[in-house]
Amino acid sequence: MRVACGVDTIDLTQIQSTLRDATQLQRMLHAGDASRQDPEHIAGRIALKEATMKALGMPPGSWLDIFVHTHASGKPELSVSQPPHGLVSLDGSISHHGNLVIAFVVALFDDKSK
Amino acid sequence: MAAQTVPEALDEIFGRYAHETAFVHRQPFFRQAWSFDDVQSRVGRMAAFLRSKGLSHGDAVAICGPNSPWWLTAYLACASQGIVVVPLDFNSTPEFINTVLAETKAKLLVKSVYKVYEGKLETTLLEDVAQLLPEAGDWKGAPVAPDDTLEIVFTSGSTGNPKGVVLTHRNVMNNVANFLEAWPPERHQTSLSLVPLSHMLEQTAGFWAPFHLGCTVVYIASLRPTEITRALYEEGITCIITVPAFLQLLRRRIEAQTGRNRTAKALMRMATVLPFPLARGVTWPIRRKFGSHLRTLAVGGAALPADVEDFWTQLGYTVIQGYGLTETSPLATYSTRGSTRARSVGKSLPNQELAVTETGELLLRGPHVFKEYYNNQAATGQVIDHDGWLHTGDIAEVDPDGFVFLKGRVKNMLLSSNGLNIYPEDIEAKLLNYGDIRDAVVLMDNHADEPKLTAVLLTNRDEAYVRRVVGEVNQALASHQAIQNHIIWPDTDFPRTPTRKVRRQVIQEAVDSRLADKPFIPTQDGTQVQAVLRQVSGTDKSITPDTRIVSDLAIDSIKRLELVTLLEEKLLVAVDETMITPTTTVAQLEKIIDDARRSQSKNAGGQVRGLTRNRLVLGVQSAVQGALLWLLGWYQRIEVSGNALPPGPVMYVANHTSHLDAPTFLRVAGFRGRQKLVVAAAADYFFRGPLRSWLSRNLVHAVPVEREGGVRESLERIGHELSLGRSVVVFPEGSRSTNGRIKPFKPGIGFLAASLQVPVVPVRLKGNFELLPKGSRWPKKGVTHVVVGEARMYSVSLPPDAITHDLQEAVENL
Repeated sequence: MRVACGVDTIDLTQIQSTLRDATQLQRMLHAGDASRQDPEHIAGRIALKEATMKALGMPPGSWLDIFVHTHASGKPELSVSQPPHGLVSLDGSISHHGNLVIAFVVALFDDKSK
Repeated sequence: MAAQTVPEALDEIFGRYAHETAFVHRQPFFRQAWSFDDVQSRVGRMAAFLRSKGLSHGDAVAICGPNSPWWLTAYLACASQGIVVVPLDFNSTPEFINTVLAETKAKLLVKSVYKVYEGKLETTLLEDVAQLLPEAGDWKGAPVAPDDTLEIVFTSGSTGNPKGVVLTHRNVMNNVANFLEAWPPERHQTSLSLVPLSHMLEQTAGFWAPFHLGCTVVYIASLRPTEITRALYEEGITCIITVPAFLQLLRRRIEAQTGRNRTAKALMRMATVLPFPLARGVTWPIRRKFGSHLRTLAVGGAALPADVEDFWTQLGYTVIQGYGLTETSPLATYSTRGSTRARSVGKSLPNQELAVTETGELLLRGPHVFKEYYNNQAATGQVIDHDGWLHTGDIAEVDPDGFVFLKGRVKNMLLSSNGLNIYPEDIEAKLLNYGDIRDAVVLMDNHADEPKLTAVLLTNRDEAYVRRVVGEVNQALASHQAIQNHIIWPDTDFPRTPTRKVRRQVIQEAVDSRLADKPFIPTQDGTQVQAVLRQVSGTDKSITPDTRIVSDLAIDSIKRLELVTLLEEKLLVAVDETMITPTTTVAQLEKIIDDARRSQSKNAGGQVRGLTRNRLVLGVQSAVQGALLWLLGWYQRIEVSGNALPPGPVMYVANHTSHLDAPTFLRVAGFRGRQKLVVAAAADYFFRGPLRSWLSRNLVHAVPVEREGGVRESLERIGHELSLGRSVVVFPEGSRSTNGRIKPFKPGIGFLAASLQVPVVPVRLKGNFELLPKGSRWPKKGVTHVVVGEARMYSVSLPPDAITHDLQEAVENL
């Protein structure tokens, strides 16, 4: 067993131009990621994706290979379109404070599988 | 008499065309063609949807989204019901949207999910429209009069506050009719939509004109250069309608590519002296990059610099120039090859009066002149006089043959210190003759004690170069027009409106208000790439070829995306994000861009491989296939229940127990249906070895998909088949069940359904496990029950896991 983690912070005041640029959003978000339209929510999705890329060692720009959806309890759930070898479990969490959004992702690998 | 309202026009058009292709919608993985019949049915259903929301004649609906057939469906459905459309530019700020929605009292906002906007107004997502529409609906019957408002178009304008231009059905329909009368159309035109549909140029010339003629318009998912090039190639585009800025950008890209190539340079030089047909032949190697069918470039929205026009004409394209205003719905004059005069915007459109006042202002009168500015009687009175003439605010001359020459905008006109008129546009045109001056704005700099005629320039060159250019230009100008000062604009581009017009007012304010002690940062010497990097990183640190992009300039992954997007916009080159690693330097990035430019021109014609299309091969293949399936009929009797198989393209999702499953589908589909059906099959099993691949591909219509991971690739394969109008059978369990029970579906199916946005039909196969279970070699005799469920579409906001779950349940419950 091996644990990998990834973390990302976003300053809401720094990504206003991104939020207004539909072209950029289309390259980062699935339609479902933007289903709620408040900047905090969208920034959270972006941070979570970035943290996932770090935890799983995905190449930069793999935004659309990561799917986030919100569990009924409000907790985000993560899945990726091409899970790396040995990935057993993936979990993420987001926190907001003022203009800051922080996302933390933990991945559990079983290197012995197969 | 041409149609005077949208419903009349629709009646005419849908009566004339049925199966011809009206629109092609290129989505990321899936290309869909819409026939005129499809448009008619979707407009009808959308109209019913709008009625069910309680909307009716006179209500306002705002539309904000990227160009797509669904945008037009919403627009036409509103127009057919007499509902007022308020088109909003996709890049409008939330504040602007708030203002417009409040002012027009819009009752519904139809917007793209990618337009981040949170408001109180009821909202329908454009991406969800397909699955929200009722089964049936009719657009006919609403009383719509010619003078009813069709739309209120808010011009962002290059200056001042936005004004809502009220255009009636009569205005727009007449402009379309006059345009068609003036411009003898090509019969088999396929055009590519590039200008936002919120702009009247795109609506009238880009949509209505080809729609009237039964021609095809192609809508692409993004304006990324790779996507534009692919569309030009794959769709056989014959015509693009665009704004001058785009042609300028494209020209610079061609020059950047041919700059290193002596042959190309020589060809371009030859083309300038050869007669038209020969010149066309000579420039073929350059034109090839834009597809073999492209012929016509229609330009409007702003003045086309003369050298840009010459460049494209020399390459062998027909350049059509139009001039107009939103207030004239929008076309007023046009020029084409055969009816052109250098530097002219052409002749007046038919059925319109055109005059020039003593002061040189151009006046227009006709049925296409707008009704009023929304809730702004004072502004209306300023531009439409008592006799119904529209004062365009443009200064023009008309020659004896009726060709119109624009001199400039009345409001841009400057007054020299000795009271003489200065037309900044004249001077700018002279500056733009220098290739390294990317753009120029000439204005009065009121910053100093005494106003100075100042040129604000976009260039990568240094101060010395600019001084030389200004000196040379001044030689050719009258003394009162001479440029007294120049400023190199510190940004990579001027502030612009959505249609890429320069916002002069913003530049004027920036120049006037600059602080004496903090002059503009002169652009450091450097390449355009460095300028883009400076803009993205927001730093004034010096950037050298050895600067590391990620660490030295603090470019995180969001900024990396911004960087890639900006490079595409400014340089028309697609850079793969993954190529920018933590150690990439500026010099390496420039190399990556160089390579990308070269590979783009090489790979433009790439095609995805599908089923064979050779008629003889197809004949033999379907005969052998028919015989085998007939033989199978001796063992297997099929009973179908539930719904009828829907017309494609759809995605069938079925349980998997036996090798008989795929042939069962082919038998159920029947001879005709089989030609339009493929089965997604495990690449590692069915495509192992050339013989097995061939048999799978041709007898079972299998397309290879990866069982483990590789969802992106599967998306492309399956999307390609759907794009060809074929339905695809998917077995989401991944492999055959060993006990006849349904195994958990792989999550990939949810990704597929979420990303492709096609109807999904659950199907349950019962009996094949008993006939030919995993491991046995020969089938037993028996009956197979095929239960076809109801087609379903999923909202874009539904997560893939939920879709997977829903489909599993649906198949289990059949």
